[in-house]
Amino acid sequence: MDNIIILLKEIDEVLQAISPMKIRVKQKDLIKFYEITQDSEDHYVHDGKEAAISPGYFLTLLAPMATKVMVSILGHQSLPKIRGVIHSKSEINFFKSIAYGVYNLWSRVETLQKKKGKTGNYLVLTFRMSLLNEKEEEVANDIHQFFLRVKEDDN
Amino acid sequence: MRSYNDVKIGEEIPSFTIKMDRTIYKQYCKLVYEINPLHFNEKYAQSLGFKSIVVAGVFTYSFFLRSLLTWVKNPTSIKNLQIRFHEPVYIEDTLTHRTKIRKKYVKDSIHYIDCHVRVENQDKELVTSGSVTLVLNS
Repeated sequence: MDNIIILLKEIDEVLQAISPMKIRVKQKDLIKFYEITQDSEDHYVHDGKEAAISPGYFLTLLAPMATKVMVSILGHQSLPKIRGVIHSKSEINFFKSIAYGVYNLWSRVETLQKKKGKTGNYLVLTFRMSLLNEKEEEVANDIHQFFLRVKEDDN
Repeated sequence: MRSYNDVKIGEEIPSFTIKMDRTIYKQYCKLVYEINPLHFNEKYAQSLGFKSIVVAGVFTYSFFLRSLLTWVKNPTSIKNLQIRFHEPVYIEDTLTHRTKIRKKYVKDSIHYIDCHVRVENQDKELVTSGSVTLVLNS
């Protein structure tokens, strides 16, 4: 816990090792998503052109990737024992429209800080996931902040 | 499609209410291969001090932009979204989304509006808030 910068570098290497992850935007899954969220593709037809992908679906698509990233981080041997994980903040930037196809997702750790809260010690972790299209252009990025509650015997 | 000139600072867009239905949420967890037990295991969630299953933040995203997109009628207008989770959203909670136009400005000939979104549960507690930047036609 003392050397937070080394820990940050180590978990960033873990993320680099699992990058890029492939993401496939498929119509079948999108339709299922619209069913679940009581939404409709009609809302995303723009100027009579092919339907855009719902930003909500895009975020949903990244959810299991964020989970994989978190699992990779939490499995790192240098990390103290974690009692719970809380998703506290998120920022998403869209640079281009997202259409059906295959994308590469790159993940990096941005910050890692120690904090003392009312209910114990936390690590505050921020990581960025960048989505690149087949031309290697960044179409969007998704930055997440998590509070990792550290087990008391590791304080 | 709504244009920049149509929009007034302080304007509120029609609110949107949705219940975090248990059955629908289970389907969602399946779709995204949810593995965090906080989001599907009641006992585990309670062992961490939560009163019930905590709905995954990304599921609430699915609805966060809905009223805004319906209002603006342009699905490609969203450029930036920042979300802060204040209180846990529990399964079976009913969430109301209220959106207000905070700012409008032109930068490098591009017309932007900034909106603030507040999401409250059935007890009027603020559970999520956020800001959204959109690009509109002039």
